[in-house]
Formats: sequence, structure tokens, C-alpha cells
Amino acid sequence: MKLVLFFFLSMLWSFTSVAQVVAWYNPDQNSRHIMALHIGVDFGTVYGISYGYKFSGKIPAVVGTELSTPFGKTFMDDFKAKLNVQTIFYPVNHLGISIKPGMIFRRYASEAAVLLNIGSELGTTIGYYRDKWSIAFEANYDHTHATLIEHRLLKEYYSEIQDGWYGSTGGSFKFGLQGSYWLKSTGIALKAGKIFGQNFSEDPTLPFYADISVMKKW
Amino acid sequence: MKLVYIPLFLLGLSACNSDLMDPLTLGSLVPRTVDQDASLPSLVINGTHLHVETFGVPTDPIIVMIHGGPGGDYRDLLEARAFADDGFFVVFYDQRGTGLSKREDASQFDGVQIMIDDLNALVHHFKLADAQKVFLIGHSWGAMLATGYINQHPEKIDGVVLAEPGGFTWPQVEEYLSLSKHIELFSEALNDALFPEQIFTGRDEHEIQDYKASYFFTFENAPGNTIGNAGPYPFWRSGAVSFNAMLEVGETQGLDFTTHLADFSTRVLFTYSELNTAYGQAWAETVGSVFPHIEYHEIEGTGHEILYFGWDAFYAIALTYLNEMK
Repeated sequence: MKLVLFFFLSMLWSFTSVAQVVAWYNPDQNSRHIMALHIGVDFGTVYGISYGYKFSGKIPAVVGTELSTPFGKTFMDDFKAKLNVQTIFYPVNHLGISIKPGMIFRRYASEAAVLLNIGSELGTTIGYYRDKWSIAFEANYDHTHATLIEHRLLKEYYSEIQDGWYGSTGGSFKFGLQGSYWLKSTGIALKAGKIFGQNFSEDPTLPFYADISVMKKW
Repeated sequence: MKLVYIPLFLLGLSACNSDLMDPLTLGSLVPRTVDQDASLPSLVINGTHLHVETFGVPTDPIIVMIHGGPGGDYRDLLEARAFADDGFFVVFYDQRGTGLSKREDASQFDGVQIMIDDLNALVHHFKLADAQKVFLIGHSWGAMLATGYINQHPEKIDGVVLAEPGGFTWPQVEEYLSLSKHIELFSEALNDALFPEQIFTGRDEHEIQDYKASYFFTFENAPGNTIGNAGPYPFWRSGAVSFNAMLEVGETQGLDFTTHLADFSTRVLFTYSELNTAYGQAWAETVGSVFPHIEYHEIEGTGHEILYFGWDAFYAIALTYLNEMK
């Protein structure tokens, strides 16, 4: 298992940065790069950066990386990094569908414990795309596979607590809307929706997500 | 396009989790409860299995210690063992479904009455003679529960020490919570509490919910917290199911512990902390005004967790009161 994790982490970090590819589709087929800065709410208040590279082909794809971190006094003690591939199905009558599988790596540190988590996600969008703007419904499932837990304060309070790698501790669904508007090579994207626990009963304390991104393509 | 298969391949590999520990393994992330560990002191009572511990001579006047929360436990109240050396029989218990008491299904928390009935069962269990006096010491939610008990059974209680009850009616509780749970959206403390929820999420098992809830502990006691706590304090287990269920009870059913308090003529000791900026003398007098005979004391140098961070000052004042009422 450790070898698997090492392999995954090596692959993940071979990409130089991370972020979120929002509204990748655009009639401008010459642009291959898209970068975005974003701020939003996603299990806390977060900000981040994303980069995507579009490959051509019968069914083109965008390989994207994302990095987001919560606001707070300690920079990057917590973060979520993603590596994903978004398949592109060209719109018919301006309607388009995409599927985006990806891997997730999270780190968390606080007085209570340090967590390293590996997960995966599968997202899809169904949208209406015009030359300058788009709007789409999105759905996403985020599943945790393994978490390394190193306890701090919690170990002081409970000395028999076990540090180490744990199996899946849950997952969550997101359902929402996203929209974008492009002005030449610069765009803005908005997304918002509801978060559900995978059992649709144990939802997070902040059961909503929202994000605003400023995008640049070239 | 073949790049699509890279994350799918990695996803499949990471799913090979045979070497991973199961988060539900007993005792791995949260302590065993009394039904899982026979060495813990316990009592089967009123249809549940409670973590119960006593100190002192059973025939001495009884003090029942009632912890806060809902969903907390009595670990932070243990300094009160000292009352046993002062001639009291001190009873600690983790409330139904909390601390090291047995986990119970959320359906059991269909009202505050079940918590009052548990307390009543304990009082009857430990009271050995009609003349044996019974005192209650309640902290925060525990002070509310003590008051709810007195509201129903005033004749059974010979004195009560209250430490910062949020309120005795639901509107009071809501008002106090709005002042005490000050949230800074972009703070490290808030995000330290919320971030782990994407890792521990959507699971029904109480153990995982309890473990996840423990990450909120540092938020409540982060530097600069409104309630004036100097930092975190020890606990055994956050009773997430009990907490959520009792909060829902308050929101859906409301509560009013004041309906018969005007008939409770016994003197009440009401303490509040110097450093809890959401509380103070004015709120103490607002909440406590329903008791006909009450005295107020500010406990200096502590925040809301009076019996932990302000024990020495609290102990002196409470012991004086208890000896006078004994």
C-alpha cells in the first residue's frame, strides 16, 4: 500500500501547480492553456489556483491540476490538491457533456492532529455553451480511500488512540450550477451548490459550496 | 486521450486498501465505552448504561455533578472529587449517549425529558435515606439540566450550584449562543474545524461522528475565543449524536425550565465567569431572575469552563454554600 501511495504522490507532484478547470469549453480552439485564480467556500473558506492543458484528439481532454487552501493564520498547513482529466464532448446545438475523474490529496494540520488523505472523485457537467458564456449543472462524488492520522492533542487526551493509515472514512456529493463569461482571453466563472454526505443524512456543518474564479487562457 | 486512464489507474490502485486500519476498530480513534470495557465504572439505569463514578461515603450528603454539552462528559469536572474530603458523597456521570456512557440511537433523544428522567433515576439510586440531602452542581448545559430537574422535582433537591447556564428557555439559549459562538469566516480556528469534514463525512457510524466532532474542540477554545477559555481542556468523547439530537429537540420543541421555579424557595448559588464576554453579570441576572432566592458570584480569572480553569476560586465559593446548606 505504501508503494501505491508513493507512486500516486510522485505522479501528483510531478505537476507543478494545481487548481480548477472551470468552463473549459470555448469556441477558441487555438488556446491550449487555461489558468484560474479562485476564492470560495468549500468545507471552509478557501482560495487557490488551477491550471489546465488541453490535448487535441477525436475526443479532446483537458488535464488539470488544482490547489486550494483554507484561509487562516498558518499558510498551507491545510490544503487540497487535485489531478484530473476532463473529457470533452463537443456541444451539439450548444449542449455539452463532460466527465472528469480525478485524484485528490489533502493535508490537514491543527492542534488536534495531522491528516494526510488520498481520495478520488468523479464529476460531470451538462451545460449550455455559447460563444461568450455558458451555464451548466454539475455533479461530483468525492470518496476518501486512505488517511494517515498522526494525533497531537487528541493523543494527550486519549493515550491509546492509534496513529497510522486508515481506510475510507466517508465521501460526499456535490450538486450545483456553474456559469462562465469570457471577454477575449479573460473569463470569470461562478459555481455554487449543495454538499451532501455520501449517506445523504450526515451532511457537513457547512453544507454549501461556492466559488468565483478569474480565468486566463492562451 | 490516453491520459484519461492515468487517474483511473491510480484510482484503482489506491482502492487496494488491505493494509489499512479500520476506523471502526474498537478503541482505535475514540475510547471504548462502558458496554465495550468492563473495567470502567458504570451503572445500568433507566434503560441505558451510564459511565458513573462516585467518591466519598455513600451516606454523606450527595452532590451530583452534571456536565455540559449536550454531548460533553464529566472529565473536566473531576476536580470536584475534593468535595468528598469535605463530607460529601460525589456522584459523576456521563449523560446518556455521551462520554464513556453507552452510545444510544438518536431516536432516544426525543425530548429533554429522557435526560431529566436519567438524573432522577440516579438521585433515587444513590439516596439511601429520606434525611440524606441531595445537591446538584451543573455546568453550562448541565446547569440547565439541573434547573430542568428542579422545575419538575423541587422537593428532591436541597441546594444547587449553577455555573453559566446558557438560559432556561429556548429563546434565552438562542440569544446566548448567538453571542458566544462568534464566527470569523476567514479564521484558522474555523477552518481547522471544518476542513476535516471532507475526510470524515457521510458515515452513519457513531464512532466516526464522535471522532469528527472532536475536531471542533479546538475551534471553541481557540485563542481569542469569546467564552474566555484559556485553551482546550480534557474530554473523553464528543457525543455527536446526543449533541445534534438535543439541539434539534431545542429547535423543534423548544424548552422552558422555568414554569415552576417560583415555588423553589431554596437558596441557589449562581456563578458566572469573569472572562466570558458573552455572559457577564447582566446576563446572569437575566437568566437567574426566575429563582426567588438566589445569590450571584463572579468567578475571577476564568472563562466559561469555570470548574476547570477557575477551580480554586469556584471551590471556595461553592464549598461555603454547600456547607451552609448541608
